[in-house]
Amino acid sequence: MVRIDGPSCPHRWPSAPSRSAVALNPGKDQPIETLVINGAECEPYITCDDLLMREQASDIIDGVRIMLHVIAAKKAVIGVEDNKPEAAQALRAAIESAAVGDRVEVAVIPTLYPSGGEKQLIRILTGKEVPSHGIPAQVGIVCQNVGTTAAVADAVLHGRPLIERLVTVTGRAVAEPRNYRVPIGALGETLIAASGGYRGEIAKLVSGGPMMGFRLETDAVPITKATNCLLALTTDESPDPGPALPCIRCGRCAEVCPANLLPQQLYWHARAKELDKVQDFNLFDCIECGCCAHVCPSHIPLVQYYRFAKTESWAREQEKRAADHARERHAAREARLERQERERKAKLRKKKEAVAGGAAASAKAGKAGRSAQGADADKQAAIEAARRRAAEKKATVAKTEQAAQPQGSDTAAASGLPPVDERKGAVLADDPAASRAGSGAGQQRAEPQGAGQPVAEGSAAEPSAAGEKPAAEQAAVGEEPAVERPAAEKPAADRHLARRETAVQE
Amino acid sequence: MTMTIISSPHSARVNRVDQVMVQVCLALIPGTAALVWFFGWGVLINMALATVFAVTAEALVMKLRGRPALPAISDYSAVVTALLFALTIPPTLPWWMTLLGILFAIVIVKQLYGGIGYNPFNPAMAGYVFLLISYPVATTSWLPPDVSALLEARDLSTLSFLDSVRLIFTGALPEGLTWDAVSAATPLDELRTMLDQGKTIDMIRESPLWGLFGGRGWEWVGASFLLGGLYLLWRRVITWHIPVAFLGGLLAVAAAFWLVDPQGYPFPTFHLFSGGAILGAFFIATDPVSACTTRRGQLIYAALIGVTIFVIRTWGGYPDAVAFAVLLLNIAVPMIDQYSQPRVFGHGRGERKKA
Ligand code: SF4
Ligand code: SF4
Repeated sequence: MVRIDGPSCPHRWPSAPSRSAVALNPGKDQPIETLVINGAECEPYITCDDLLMREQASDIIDGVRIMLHVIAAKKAVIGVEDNKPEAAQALRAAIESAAVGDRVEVAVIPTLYPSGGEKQLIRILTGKEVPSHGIPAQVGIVCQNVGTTAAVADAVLHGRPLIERLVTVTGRAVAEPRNYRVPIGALGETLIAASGGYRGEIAKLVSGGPMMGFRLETDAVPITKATNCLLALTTDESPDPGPALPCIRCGRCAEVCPANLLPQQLYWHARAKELDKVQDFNLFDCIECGCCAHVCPSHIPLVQYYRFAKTESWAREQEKRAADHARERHAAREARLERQERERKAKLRKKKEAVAGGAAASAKAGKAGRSAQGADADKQAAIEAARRRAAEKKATVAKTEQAAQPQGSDTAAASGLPPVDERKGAVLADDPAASRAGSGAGQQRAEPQGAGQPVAEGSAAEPSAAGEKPAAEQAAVGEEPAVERPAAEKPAADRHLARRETAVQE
Repeated sequence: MTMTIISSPHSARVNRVDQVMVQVCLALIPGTAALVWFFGWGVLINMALATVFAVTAEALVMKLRGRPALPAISDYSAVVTALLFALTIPPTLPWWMTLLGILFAIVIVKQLYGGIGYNPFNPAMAGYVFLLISYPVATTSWLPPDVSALLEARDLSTLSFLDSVRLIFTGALPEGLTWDAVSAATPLDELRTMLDQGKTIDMIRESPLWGLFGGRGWEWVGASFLLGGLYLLWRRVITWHIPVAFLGGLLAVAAAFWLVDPQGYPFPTFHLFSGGAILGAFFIATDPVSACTTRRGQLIYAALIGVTIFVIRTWGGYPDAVAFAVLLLNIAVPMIDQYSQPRVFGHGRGERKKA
């Protein structure tokens, strides 16, 4: 059975309250031994965590202490990659001044993508493997990002909610790459403008890193609490990989796969749409890190195939559930009708008996019989009415459902469904690529939910609201024409933008 | 602004099939040079012929299949097949046999199965085996390792480039030469015949066909291919798994038998440096398409090839066995792959030591 587990992104994005709450509440039966703090940058290019560790080391350590207290863990390990010696230094200094050296330690790990993945980092730091489909708490570990840790300190010690975050703006297609502390909801274009705008030929604008980020159609999108990077890539940095060649089974992909999968076999079966087979090869352990596609000499868009296979599997699972549900309802209905029929017959029989008996009975008795008959008829009528009501109700429900259907993603957002996971959103946004590349596999369920819906204008115009609704953001992202904002809002956004010169100055 | 629509990763790709193939061709240079040194120009002529035939055949089949030919031939996989094929056939093979072998390799073994990436068998080896079975004499009569010295001793000019061309295209030997004079058994052939006659290894080693640690001439060819193979390892075109397991398997069984009976079996390095063992280990068994794709599977696959080579060389009907062994194990690849899957992260008891 497919397990539909939430986000396929392995990274612990900072401060998603609900997720962190879950991560911090593992349940009573599993004592937490270690708190792992992820100070490894998610992906190449991104430096905002580095900056955070250097600038707010003491906040991070405060957050660590709070978390240690909450989950009653014995110790905390902060994993920092070895290309950030200053960050490690700052953290060590903060640990010393807070005198928690016996419980909190900084571990320097090799800089090797994707060490920033939650499960990967846990394995590097503790040697433990989080079971497939499991959560770290099952091995006695809780993992949090440094961003979350700092936000916890902010919230608990200063009573400040999460209203801003650090964002890296980089790529060779921006004039002055920098990190910014921005209020959540600030517009991407404001950040780009603050970095001196675009420079030269821009090939792609990506939200997130080069390996897992998703492409943006426009920079008029709000920064959400999950946006860690805006990456403007030149054609040199991100050349068109050209048409995919057949897989030559070289095994390079398997060599680099952090989940130890066989990407070539996954690809083979995903391409053939053999969903059961792909799952036998543990498709759902794929974290979509992109390593396999990065090294593939045949330039096969492997991750795209995996996303396709995952979405197909989810869809199939959903269909199956719907079908099961329908079958159950049908069976229940049959049973109910049968029971009613039985009851009706039983009553009829009783009545007949009563009538037969009544012929010999006294007038008084006959009267009583008639009244019983009358009551019966009343009951029947009531049942009929109830049935009619039910049928009508069903019809209206069906109608509203139909009406709701074409509205796509905004319905999902508005009706309070769990927000569409970003990665999935990325797939959908990217799907046309598949048909374009002629790969055949990506073509299915292209219905790009975000694209071209005249929706979410309200939320896009109010960036802070959009920040809480990734689904709405998705819709805005997919939208072709940039959403028009009231002109008055622009300077306001600028004012909010506390620009911070980063490493350069220090 | 038009931007490419593509899903992540957005990074520049680090490998390319055609670059991989070019690296393989480059790595063949030292071995080729050694072959030319010992066996004359025929080697080069065969390589050129085979390449032309292979690329033409590939292009034609792609046309027939209604697909663009250019992408197929510009991945250079046909060139690599042709070169490997040409390096395994004798340098005097008539041109039409080369053509037949290549046609079989490219058209039937490769393209009929769907082209690059889909062929279950190694095309070069299948083409060679096809010839070997159809024309056993022509495909096994080699020149003696230092053909030029031999010819000079007979007061003849060396087998010049033109002589070689004439030999390959018309089958005509230069004036005053006979086939008996120019052809010689390979060391492996010789060994087999002598052993069959009940001679001991010590007696056999008197033969001029033996060198320091392998067959005369052949040992240097093997060493040169080894050099090329190391280059491939260094450029990370191949990994160590297949060559090491291949040679290890061959060496292990050869050593075991040699230790038991040093007069009945040649010393292990003889196996390594005679015939096509080194070429096979670094260039042929490593053909990714027809080899195992899991790392553990590759170890099993290659070790079994090594063992099979020894078995066929020692008790089989053919003196050299690389081609047969590779093809036999190609058949076993799907099964080996199935049972050698790596343990997936987070599955089973996988508590590795702290890194
Ligand atoms: S890296 Fe690409 S060509 Fe090589 S085995 Fe993997 S998918 Fe196939
Ligand atoms: S299959 Fe590819 S994308 Fe998935 S985890 Fe492995 S390397 Fe990453």
